[in-house]
Amino acid sequence: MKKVLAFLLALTGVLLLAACGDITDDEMKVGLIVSAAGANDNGYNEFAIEGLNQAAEDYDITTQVVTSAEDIPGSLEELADEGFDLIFSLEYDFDALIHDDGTGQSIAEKYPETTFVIFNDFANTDGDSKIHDNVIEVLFNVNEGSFLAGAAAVLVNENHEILFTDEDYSFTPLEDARLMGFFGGTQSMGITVFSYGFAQGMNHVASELDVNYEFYTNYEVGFAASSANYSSIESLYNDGANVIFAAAGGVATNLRNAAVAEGKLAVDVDADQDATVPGHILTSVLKNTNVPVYELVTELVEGELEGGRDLFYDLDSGAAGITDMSVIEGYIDDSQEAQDKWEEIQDELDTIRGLINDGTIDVIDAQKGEELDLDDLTNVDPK
Amino acid sequence: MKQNKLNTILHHFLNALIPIFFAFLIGAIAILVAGENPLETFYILFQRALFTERGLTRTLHYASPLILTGLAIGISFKAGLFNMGVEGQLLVGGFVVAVLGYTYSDLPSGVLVPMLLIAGILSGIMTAMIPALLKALFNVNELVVSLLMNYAIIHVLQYLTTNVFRDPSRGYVSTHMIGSSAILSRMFGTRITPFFFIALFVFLIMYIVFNHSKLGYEIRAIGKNLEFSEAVGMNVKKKILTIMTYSGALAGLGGAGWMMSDRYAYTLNFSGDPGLGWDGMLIALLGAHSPVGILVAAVFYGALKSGSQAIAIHTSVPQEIIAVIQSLLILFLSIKFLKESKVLERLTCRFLPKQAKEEEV
Amino acid sequence: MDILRVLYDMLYYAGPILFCTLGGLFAYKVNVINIGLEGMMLFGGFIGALLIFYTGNYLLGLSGAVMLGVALGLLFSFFGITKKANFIITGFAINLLAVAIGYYTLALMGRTDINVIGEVRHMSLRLNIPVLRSIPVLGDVFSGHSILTYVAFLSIFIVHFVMYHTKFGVYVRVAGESPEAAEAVGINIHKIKYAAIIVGGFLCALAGVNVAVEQIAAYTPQITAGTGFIAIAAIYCAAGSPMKSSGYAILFGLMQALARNLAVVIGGIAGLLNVIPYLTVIVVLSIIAINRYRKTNIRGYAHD
Repeated sequence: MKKVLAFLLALTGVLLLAACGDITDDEMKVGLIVSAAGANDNGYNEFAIEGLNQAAEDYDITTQVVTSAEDIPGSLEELADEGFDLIFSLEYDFDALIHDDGTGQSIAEKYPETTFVIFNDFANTDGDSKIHDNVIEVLFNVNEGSFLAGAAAVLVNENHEILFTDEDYSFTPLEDARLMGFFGGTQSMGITVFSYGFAQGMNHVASELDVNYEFYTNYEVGFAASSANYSSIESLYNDGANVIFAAAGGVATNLRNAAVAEGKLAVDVDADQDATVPGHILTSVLKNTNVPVYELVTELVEGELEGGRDLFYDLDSGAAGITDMSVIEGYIDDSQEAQDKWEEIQDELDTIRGLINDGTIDVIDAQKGEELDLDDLTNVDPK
Repeated sequence: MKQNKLNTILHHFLNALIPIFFAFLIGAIAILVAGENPLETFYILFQRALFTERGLTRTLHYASPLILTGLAIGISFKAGLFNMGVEGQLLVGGFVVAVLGYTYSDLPSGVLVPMLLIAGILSGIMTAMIPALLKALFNVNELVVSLLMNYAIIHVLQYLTTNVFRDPSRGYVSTHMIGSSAILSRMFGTRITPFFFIALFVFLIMYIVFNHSKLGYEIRAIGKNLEFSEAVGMNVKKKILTIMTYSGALAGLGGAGWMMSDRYAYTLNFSGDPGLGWDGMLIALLGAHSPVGILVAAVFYGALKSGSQAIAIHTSVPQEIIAVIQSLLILFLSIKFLKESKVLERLTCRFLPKQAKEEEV
Repeated sequence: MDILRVLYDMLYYAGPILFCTLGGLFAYKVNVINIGLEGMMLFGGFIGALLIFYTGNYLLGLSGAVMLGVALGLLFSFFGITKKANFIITGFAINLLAVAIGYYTLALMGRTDINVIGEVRHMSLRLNIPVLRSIPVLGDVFSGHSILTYVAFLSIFIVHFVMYHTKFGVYVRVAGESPEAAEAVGINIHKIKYAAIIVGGFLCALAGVNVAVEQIAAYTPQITAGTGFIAIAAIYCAAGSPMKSSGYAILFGLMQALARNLAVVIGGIAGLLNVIPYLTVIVVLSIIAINRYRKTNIRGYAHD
């Protein structure tokens, strides 16, 4: 027993002596706190980290990525305390930063030298003014991308018999397939922004074609793949849905695998996921977080970083929108009829894109607190 | 006598230290797999958690609910009752406090804070009463019931948070923030809140209950030898309810305090992952079910939590390493390295009913 | 809601519960409660998916999972029997360790799940058995399940046979019911207990592969969601009888199938339906315990 004790003591000593080099130089310091979906979510977080890594290559900065932090306010404070100049927080957790962290003061107030960047919410906005001038809000017009995806989903579904003839597919015949589904990780504005846009896009095309669609939504699936989520998705495909859309982190894996199993189509989010299960992802609604991360770091390095504003990325910015659908294009039947139909669909989507850009079509943006008025959906029946 | 006591303490100490050593040893291998230096990682972990003011006060803040959940599990395990529902009881306590703390936010602090603490305690007790009554009245296995209740509770609270008590102005699922008069605010410009002192106070009470009260004696007696306890006229059913009441109350208070000192609103990750109730189990084991041991273990565990953040920020080792070390710790703690614990052995034997007689063939 | 689909889903969900139930009841018979069923299942799914992910070989994944299951059974036995650990805690530690190692490995791999769809098309692991398919009306219920789901149902009969018609089964029961008598006739109780627990590890590993590879083709640390605990309840409900325990396992499978299918129908409050399976288990367990308590009319504790 003595030997064990001696060894433990020795080990403790080594632990205490082991030196660790702290960062002490004058480089700009940029931190990034990853959301619960994890650093390797193939999208939202991963893109942001990529943007940061790109910036670290191009500029002399010190970067720190904080993954799976349970305590977001604590991590914000710790980084700010370490003298970080710019901190991106990808998690939906703003109270302590903006309002009160339990001391009667907010973190933003306590660390005026640090600029904080938050995503997907106007948390720093009070009426027309910004609460703190060292906080930047970043939002993506994913509502517009979702609108396009919804439109594309209906267009493809209406023509699936012409477009897809490969035996890997087993679409439900159209008369039973005027049904689509949405699976959201949680009931938040960052999630409903997708489903509202998608429903509106469905409605836009459905009303032009004078057909009626059902739209099934579930906002409580969480952000991790699970057996339960898989079978919920599979059931909906079995019920006749040919296209299902999910904005729920890791649940995307369930969606993709179910789409393959059922021989149907999925719409994915965040990054370009079209090639993950080629032929079964119709398109992905993009939220290229790398763009704002890189831009803001650039501003920081050039000394032009300004807080107290919001950055809004729309279809034109290249940071929001949908993919070019080139992967699924490879699975369209070779016949002239199918190719022509595909071209027609692309043209139709371009038209819609134009109408959104010039404001003719106004897509509800849940991120701004806008609610979807169900009466506006003439041809889509949400369930 | 004194010599004896010292020996016991040393035994306890080494019984805790050896598992810690093994857990960190295997954890070190996992860190090597990640291509990092384990010693440096551990150094950062403890240096940041214990030897910086921010880290230390955060450690103590994290330890506060853990002291309570550790005691909640400790008291029931000591009596041979497997209250695995501490996590659920804590969640219910936190949730009720979140709802009341918002609804009655007009009340002055002096009224609201005690009211909420009591509400949390009562919620914890009521939740614990379900497995407790089933156990006491009908001998339904409390381990399975309380364990599965956690899953049910999580889903029910998720439903209530999402659909009934949701703050619609927030972009994510959360109840309304509790009123400022309900908040146990930070003290001396550190992370410590009055909750830490509440937890310490409760620890003192439990210390007395454990070591200097009739109940404490009875708990130990039931845990050691149930038949004997019954034979000498102890009302075991009533004792089961009493013990589960204590356990539920501690868990509920833990939830209330965590809500009022850290979270301020019920969100779906209120208790974290694996959850403060589960953490309590490790702490009770590490502390050998004794109050002082639990206190020390809670602080140690708070340091792991606090330090895990430092690992996340200052190294490239995945923060998940802490959970690996924690579960290894539990694994090694299930063995008594130096002394066979007759208590634990009996406790599990008794827990398992012998083959039911009506079984066919 | 389509009744036939609910029935199909019942068998689908019952598969993994059956494996864990059948695996756990050997240990139960020798008076060891294996709380670690959940973790052994998760480890099985983990290593199975991991091996398939890197090699593309289903059989390799399956054998790896089984080997790990056996190893975990061995570990559990070593701790619980040889080292006289508190096996409730040991089992619990295995559960926590399974989750922790899962997350740690995913973090190292830089993934949120181990998706094996690129390696093994899970649809190709589903069997269409002509005999079953030709059953009128219910053909679609019985046909088209994955290989291991069929194995799970076959195991009910195998386990029943082993338990009541083989020497091993007799030894297991004797070792549990009257260890003194067992020792008197020269049965090595240690060995029997080891074997009983290891069989459990083996079957739980199959449950993991069933879910992670065959059903959803992706491993995450959340695939088990209490399956192991539900299995323990099934064992308790039937006091370790293979046939009856399996009956409860299938009943609990039905509850999951109902929760899932109702969710699609009612939409909005779908989240609340997730409670059904867990509540059913609690209620069933309580009813049975109450009945048993009334029948035997023993004192407050079933210890004797």
